[in-house]
Amino acid sequence: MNPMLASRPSLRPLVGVTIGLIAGFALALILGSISPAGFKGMASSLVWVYTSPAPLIFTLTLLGPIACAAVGLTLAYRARFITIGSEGQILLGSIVTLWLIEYSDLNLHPTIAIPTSIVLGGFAGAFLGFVVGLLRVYVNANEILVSLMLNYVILYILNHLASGPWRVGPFAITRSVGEEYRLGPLAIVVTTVSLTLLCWVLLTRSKFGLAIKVYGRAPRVAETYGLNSKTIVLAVAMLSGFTSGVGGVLMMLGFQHNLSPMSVSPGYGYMGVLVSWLSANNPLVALLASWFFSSILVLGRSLQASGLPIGYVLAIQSIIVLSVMIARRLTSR
Amino acid sequence: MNTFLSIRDVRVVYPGGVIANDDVSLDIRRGEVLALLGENGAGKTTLIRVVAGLVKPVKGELVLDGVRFKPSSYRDALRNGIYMVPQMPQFFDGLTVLEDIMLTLRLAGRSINRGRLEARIADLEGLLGFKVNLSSHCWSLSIGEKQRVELLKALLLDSKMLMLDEPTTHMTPHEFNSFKGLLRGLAGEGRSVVFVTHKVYEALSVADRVAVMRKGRIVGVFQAGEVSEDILVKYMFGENGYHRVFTPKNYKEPVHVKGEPVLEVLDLWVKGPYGQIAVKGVSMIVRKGEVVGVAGITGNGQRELFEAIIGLRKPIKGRVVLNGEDVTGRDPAYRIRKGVAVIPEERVGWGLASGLTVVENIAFSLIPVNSSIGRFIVDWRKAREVAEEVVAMIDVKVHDLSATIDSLSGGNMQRLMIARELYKRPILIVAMNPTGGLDLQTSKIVRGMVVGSSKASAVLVISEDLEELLEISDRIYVMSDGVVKGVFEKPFNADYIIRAMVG
Repeated sequence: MNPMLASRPSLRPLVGVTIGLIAGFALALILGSISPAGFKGMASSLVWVYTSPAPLIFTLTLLGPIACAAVGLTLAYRARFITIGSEGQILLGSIVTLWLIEYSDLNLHPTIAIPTSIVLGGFAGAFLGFVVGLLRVYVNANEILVSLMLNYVILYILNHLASGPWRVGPFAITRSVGEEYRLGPLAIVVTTVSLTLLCWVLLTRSKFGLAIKVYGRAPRVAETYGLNSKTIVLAVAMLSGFTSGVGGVLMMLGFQHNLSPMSVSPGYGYMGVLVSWLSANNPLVALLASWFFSSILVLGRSLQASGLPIGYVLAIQSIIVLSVMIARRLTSR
Repeated sequence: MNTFLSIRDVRVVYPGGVIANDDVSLDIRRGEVLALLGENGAGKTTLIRVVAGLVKPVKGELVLDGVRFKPSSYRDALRNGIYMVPQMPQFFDGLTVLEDIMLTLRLAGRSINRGRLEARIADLEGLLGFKVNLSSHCWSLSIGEKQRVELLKALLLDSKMLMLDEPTTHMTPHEFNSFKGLLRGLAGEGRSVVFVTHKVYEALSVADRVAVMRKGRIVGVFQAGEVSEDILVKYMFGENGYHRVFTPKNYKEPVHVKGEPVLEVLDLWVKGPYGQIAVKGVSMIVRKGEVVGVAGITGNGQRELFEAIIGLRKPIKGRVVLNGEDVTGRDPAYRIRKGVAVIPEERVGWGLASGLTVVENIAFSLIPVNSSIGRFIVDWRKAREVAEEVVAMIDVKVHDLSATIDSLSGGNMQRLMIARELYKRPILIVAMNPTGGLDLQTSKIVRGMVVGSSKASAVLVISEDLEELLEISDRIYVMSDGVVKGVFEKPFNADYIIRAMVG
């Protein structure tokens, strides 16, 4: 392979993204010919998304849940704990936020309610992670399956709440959080960046991060030299759950504002999984990649307005991840 | 005329230049049990793998029933009536026993209807004298049961020759007796049985002829009734391999007085990975200032003993005492904090983490010791200094401490790993096969490191390399079948030690 790429592993994702964009472009050409807006309309959407203030702000807002999930998952994946439970953790984080603010009768002032919901949502996510970790550690249950199933459990709880006890009006939709509780892009970015830095410090600077890396690379080594595998697995399960839960809070207070069975459609948690893979489990890269994914999402919404299906966006995201995986394999030889 | 298979001048060279079979010639007759006897690495398994079509020789040929035979695959061997049972029989875990049997038959080119097959199996079970639960899943079988199913498969295929690789490793003496009867019965029907073993008495009690292998060669073929255990042992290990009393040239009387006991193992019983009892009441003592060796042929409970001493495996009975403190119930981290240094059998994956840097590989081992590299946050500058010190302890050029550990050669990795452990100033060093896979020069250096460390620590070396133990140990425990068969003091009598190893 290209010696420059081989010697600089950090370039590998870029190669993948480029291949992915080319593949996406080819897909766009096909879709453009059938799109009502035509190919020109698509090109102008692309320019608009990366230059105008409104889509840029919207990108930063959508960034919250994706990035929070992704940066926590970098820890889990470094320890070879392949959870995909972020989706459920995000939903649970948003459920407890809505409960705290709208359904709990506590009537907290926003300056108290917002930090409290961030902590509460984080712990709710951590609890889900703990359940998955516990099953893995003590009965050797596969964390991929357990976390996937738990996502459905939370999803159906959400559906039940939205169509049952929390329903307002004729449709399956809950009350919305009040204007005074909603978060702007700045608060979302600050929270996300803080979590990213926290994960980055944990992973690259702390003893615990070193233990994670050793366990992920060679579990046998970790156990022989006294690094407790149970502690490591439970900790990364809870930490990734925590950040995803916080992502759910940001989703609720940032742009979702209420719950309905429709709230789950884009699957921010699954995007977090993809982003974490894309970043080679580096929190800083994951933050950047989250922004990229988020911007593609915004692009998709604008194209949707011009008549293209949202599925196009999800297809592009998946193509990018696949391309990066292929590029990594090719360059690691 | 009576010969079923003739092996002629077979030579096998493995990548890396190891000659596993060095112009081996051997005839296997109809209706005999032939024992293939030799210590670890003598080339026994390679030879039967050649016959089974799993290894391609660079030279030589096989003649089957007077016809040249070049098996291109295992399937090829199966179809020619040759059946090999590996040391760890391989089954498809998700299938039932019956399905697995049918799959093997299909591989050998036999299709058979299920009902007829079950009837055939029932007949054979009567003949063999055991029952197999055909509907149980393969993953639930013990190794002994798997071996029985393998015999069944061989008979279903009407194999003319059976080759069994160390089948008795996980058998009790009682099981061995009935197994012996089975093999004799098979030979009585005119089949050939090749029985691979490292145990002399097994070879003599079951075989008609014994072929002894050493260092890739057949060094002698004997009629079982006409040869003594002593002679076989001599051939196994080589007459000139050891002097009767081993005194290395650089041997000096220990200058230090034997110190306090650092490690005491008291009546230890440990289960192995397959649920069998691997260590059966072992007791030993290691004092400060001495190197204690544990000799034995691989698979006689050494690994389980090692794991129990460092805390990876919980014993079912007995105690491990470190510096007077009972640490039996303690985890590895606790023992490491108390001064145990571990040199595991395999470097990569057991002692060093592939993909991490040299610095990281040194720093992580200091985490449980809670030393100077920081409390929660790693002080990477400090860690780098420690790494520099560790590298300075050995004469190894490491150009870049931030390069991954994989960039070092095997020998350098081993030296780095040992230096890392010695850096912690342990009170006890537990090493398993510390020179495994190393060249002579590096082995010498590593032995020097191990012996040198005994000035300040107690050292326990578990090794399959007897020559190494004779050279470095002050005392040697010999393990066989999970039991300490003998304790030997300097000057060592190699013959007695070998007898204890194979006895």
